[in-house]
Amino acid sequence: MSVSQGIFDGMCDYCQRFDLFNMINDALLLIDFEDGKILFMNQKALALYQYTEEEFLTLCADDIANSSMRTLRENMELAKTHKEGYIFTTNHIKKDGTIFKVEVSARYMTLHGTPVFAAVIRNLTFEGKMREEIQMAGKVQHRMLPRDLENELFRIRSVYQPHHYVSGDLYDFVYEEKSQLLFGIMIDVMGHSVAAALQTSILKYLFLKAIKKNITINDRLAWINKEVMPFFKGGQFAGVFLFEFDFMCNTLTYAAGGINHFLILKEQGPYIIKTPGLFLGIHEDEVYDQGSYHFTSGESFLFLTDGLFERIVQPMDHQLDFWSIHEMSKKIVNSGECNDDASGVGILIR
Amino acid sequence: MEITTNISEKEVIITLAGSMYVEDAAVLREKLMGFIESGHKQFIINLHNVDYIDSSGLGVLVAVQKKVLPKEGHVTLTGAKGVVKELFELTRLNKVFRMQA
Repeated sequence: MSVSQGIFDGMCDYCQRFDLFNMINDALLLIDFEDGKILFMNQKALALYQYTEEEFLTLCADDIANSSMRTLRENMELAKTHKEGYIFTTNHIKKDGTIFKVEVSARYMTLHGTPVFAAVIRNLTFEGKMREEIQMAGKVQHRMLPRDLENELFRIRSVYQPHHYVSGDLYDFVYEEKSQLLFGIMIDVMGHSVAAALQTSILKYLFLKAIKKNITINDRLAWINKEVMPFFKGGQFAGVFLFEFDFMCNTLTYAAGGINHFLILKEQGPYIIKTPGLFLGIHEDEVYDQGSYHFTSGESFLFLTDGLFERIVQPMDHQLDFWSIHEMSKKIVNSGECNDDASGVGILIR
Repeated sequence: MEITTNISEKEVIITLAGSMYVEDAAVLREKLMGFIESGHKQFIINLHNVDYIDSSGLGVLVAVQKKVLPKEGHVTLTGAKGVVKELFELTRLNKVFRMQA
């Protein structure tokens, strides 16, 4: 810890006595409000800016701030007018010329008769990099989604919106032309974190393996649940819904594990189908039920995670059709009002 | 959502009232995890006056159950009714928790 000698003698005694400022985990600066001279810095500040104690004591605020004198002065004045303190982000410069982003929590105070601009400096470089990485992860996750399909048998439209860059939601569907089978999965892992996003990827991978197995859809869900257990040890779980459209015999079969509803749009209006089933990642040997439905041309099916389901069903307008619901879903997810990840896959039977 | 807590030697009794959304779930999680960290493992959660729980609320309850089960602890849910009861039945979480009327 260093304190500018002569100018701030009283402060020096104060600091040496308590040695408090080196307990702060961020850089701390005390700057003379009148002439901008740096009066004091803690050890974190010395390490952050890479100056020695002697060097630092010869500096003024504008030597470490990568902004104009005018901006610097404006921020100092704002700190003076905000009695509870003023927080802003700016760029600072290290001794070697590296410019880095910081958050400055500033406060004007008078110490031993000297007007002081006190600033706690938080280096945002790591946070910034993390944010960039998470944004990139979100883009990669988005690329895992299948493109909407359309053929002579069906049309698929989907919506997808992470709550915050990466999502605990994911969906996938695969159409096998030879067998005229359309397999699909909706995934809603608890949480919106990077861990949840990774868990969605595991579930998607297991889904792709499961559809190769010659077993019933509920057994596929049970198999996925068993396989995914090691990845859900920390108290998390996932909602999953499996569906399979057989266009040879016009039958939908499905199995639910925590996503326990879907919508059928018929001529008479929408119907909510509820189907029981425990979340995945809770009981290793959970047994799931299978449901089925004989579909006809013109009907459509909406598989939604709860972030979207709760917004659409409240209650639903009976006049809504497949396309208007798709438009409404896009508006909902783009509104920024969802406080959850939101995803949906709609399938219109032609 | 209102969260009321009573602690006895053997168990922590939490009484919830209102609707539980993501923000309430975060508060409840913090409270419950705090109790687990300080050694509690038996929880009774009264849902009698709860009219809605979203998935984040369920998440908190499941997370707590998964944490205390290996310590021979339990989460007992009491008084669930209406859509809340239906939710536990539909998601089959009524088999995961001890449910009491």
